[in-house]
Amino acid sequence: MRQTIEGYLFISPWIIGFILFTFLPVAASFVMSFFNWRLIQAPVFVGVENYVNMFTADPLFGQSLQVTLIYVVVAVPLQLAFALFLAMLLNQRVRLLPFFRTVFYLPAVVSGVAVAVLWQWLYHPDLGLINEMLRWFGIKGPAWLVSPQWALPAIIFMSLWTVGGTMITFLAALQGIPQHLYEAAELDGAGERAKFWHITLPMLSPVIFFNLVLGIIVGFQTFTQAYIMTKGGPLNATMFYALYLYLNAFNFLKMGYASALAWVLFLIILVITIAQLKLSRRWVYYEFEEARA
Amino acid sequence: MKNAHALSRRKFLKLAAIGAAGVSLAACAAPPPRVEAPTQPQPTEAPKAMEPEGEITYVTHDPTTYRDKVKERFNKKYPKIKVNMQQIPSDFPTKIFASAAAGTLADVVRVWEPMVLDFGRAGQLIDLQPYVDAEKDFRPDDFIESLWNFPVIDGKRYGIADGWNGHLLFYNKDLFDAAQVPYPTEDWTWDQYVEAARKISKPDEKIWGSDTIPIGWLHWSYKNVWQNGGQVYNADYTECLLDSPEAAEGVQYWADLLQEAEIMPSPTQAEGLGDLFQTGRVALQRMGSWAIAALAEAKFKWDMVPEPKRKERRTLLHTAFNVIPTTTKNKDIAWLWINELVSPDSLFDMTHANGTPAARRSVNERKPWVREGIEANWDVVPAAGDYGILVPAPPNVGEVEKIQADAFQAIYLGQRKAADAFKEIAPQVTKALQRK
Repeated sequence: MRQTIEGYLFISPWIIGFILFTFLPVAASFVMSFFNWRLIQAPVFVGVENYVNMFTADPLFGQSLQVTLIYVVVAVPLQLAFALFLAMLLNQRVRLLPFFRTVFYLPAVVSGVAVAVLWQWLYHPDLGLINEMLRWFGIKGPAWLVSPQWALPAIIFMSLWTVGGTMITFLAALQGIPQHLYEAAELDGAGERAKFWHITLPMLSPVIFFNLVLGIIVGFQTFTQAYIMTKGGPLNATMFYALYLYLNAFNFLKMGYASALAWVLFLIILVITIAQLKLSRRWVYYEFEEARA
Repeated sequence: MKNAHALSRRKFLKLAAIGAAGVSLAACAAPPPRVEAPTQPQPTEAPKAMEPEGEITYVTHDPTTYRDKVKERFNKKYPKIKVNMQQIPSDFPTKIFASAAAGTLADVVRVWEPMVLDFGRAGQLIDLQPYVDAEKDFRPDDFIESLWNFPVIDGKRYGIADGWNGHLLFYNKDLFDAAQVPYPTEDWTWDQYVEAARKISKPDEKIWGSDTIPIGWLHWSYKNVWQNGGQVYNADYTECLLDSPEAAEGVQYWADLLQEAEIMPSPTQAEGLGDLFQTGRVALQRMGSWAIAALAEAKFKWDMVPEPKRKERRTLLHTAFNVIPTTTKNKDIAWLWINELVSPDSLFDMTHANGTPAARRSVNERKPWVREGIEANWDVVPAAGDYGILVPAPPNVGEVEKIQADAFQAIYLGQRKAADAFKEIAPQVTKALQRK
């Protein structure tokens, strides 16, 4: 009994912090979502009006959801593929390996705001490095962040720069694949491509699944890049859901509506995550399950 | 008007917490804002025996150093009152609104135009008029009328302005001389502006006659409406008037020039390049008088005139209002501080420090905005106060301005014509204005 109490005492700072700063605010936001609350005025109960308005009277809700979905559908697979590609390169036995690993991981520890400011300059239509490099090949680069067509692709492309964290998990997983599997495949005459498709990928599938779930959750919450670089523009082309939620809360002072938006986002992420968990049984290979069977 | 479903914030937070976790959040919640009648103000010349004492906090967006002399003078008058100055340089409205929601606003806050009316409408500010009335030497008639009358709703005064900035036309004399174009005059029209800008522009050399349109700055674009005889809202902010021919023509005039990109850099060309006038790349810039501070260090010759007009002489004015939130426990001391802030001597010290005109005409006779050693047409700076319009402060301002900002952006980027866009958004804006 005493041990139990002591155990709870030890973890109480986290529990208290979680209840005060996570659970209660999250739960309170659910209650708020049924109110019209302008922050500086008394809240007014409006029932499900916020949820109804979202789907019937707010074109920016649809726009922000569309922008975010495009980002998630395009950026997350690209990030996974690029991170895996880098991890495989860094899994080779080459000189200066620790240096390259550090270099590729470094952007992941830089603050999101700093990354956004840096890329703002890289994307500058006249002075930016990216258009300068395109000019070397005789290509006139687009206006990137001031172009309604190119602003979202620019943010998607930029997201590839910060895949260091994903890359590290892939690298660790690659090093955990038993070498004897490759040796056995080689004895059977398997080439590099066959080894990748039939050993590396299946053995990495739990980590791919983990990174996919996390990537989608983080993708749906994309905020900093748009807030710093484009403010959702031009013409709402980069109006990410989380940014629109923020604008509703702190610019439009519609705290109730913003709370409703947050809960809809939560439901979207929840449904997608559950669907992924269900579908994962079809393509994720767990070695321990095989052994247990 | 009281809504039958309205809850006090305390009840609301309680409900939120009970629904969530079965415990009350009320203990954590700040007390709800209450609109209280101001206590009977005391004249500031109190006898020594009743010397006021206490501590207040004053929050501003701009640097507190502008008020160093003011604080010094106040401390001499009221040695037992401590004033803590706090600057919030970024995300100012967000932080102020969050403080208001938490019931932790400072004792005196210097807020912007939309904020003073927003807070006033929400009953978050005390009525300063009784305090003003109790001061023998206050002289309200000394204030510029538009600044004095702005923060008043139903006879209640929610703030008092101190300094202000008006938009003017700045021009680079060196670029005009090089192109042998006569300098702008005080009665210039838009067409004359464009004609001169065309003669000066050399886009291939990245020299333009005119600065670009700051397409993300909605209030700046209101000038294009006003100077062409249009209006953005009606007087009581219940209707959007952007769907008038004057408004559409005025905005389209400049949007076409921006798209043409001959006399001014396009948004793409201007992206991230900072202030092109300050760096000597454009000859004409329609900008707030705060630009003077940086121009004082410019390596080229410059001067200023009123902004050009088409149908009416109009410009944009910016100011800030000193307000006392209802949540303060030090209303009387807070008033003593505001009274000092807007006294003629203090206003001179503050506006001289930041180089702007003052809200009091008597202070402007001492020309606090003039930078010594620089020859310029300094008299046009305060004159803007006579024909300028303050940044509008509609209800539901964030939402109302977002609808407009999207439309203006589409027009300036050449995606829509102003007449079509304004016809579509005016009813939407009106609806947002009227939403309770």
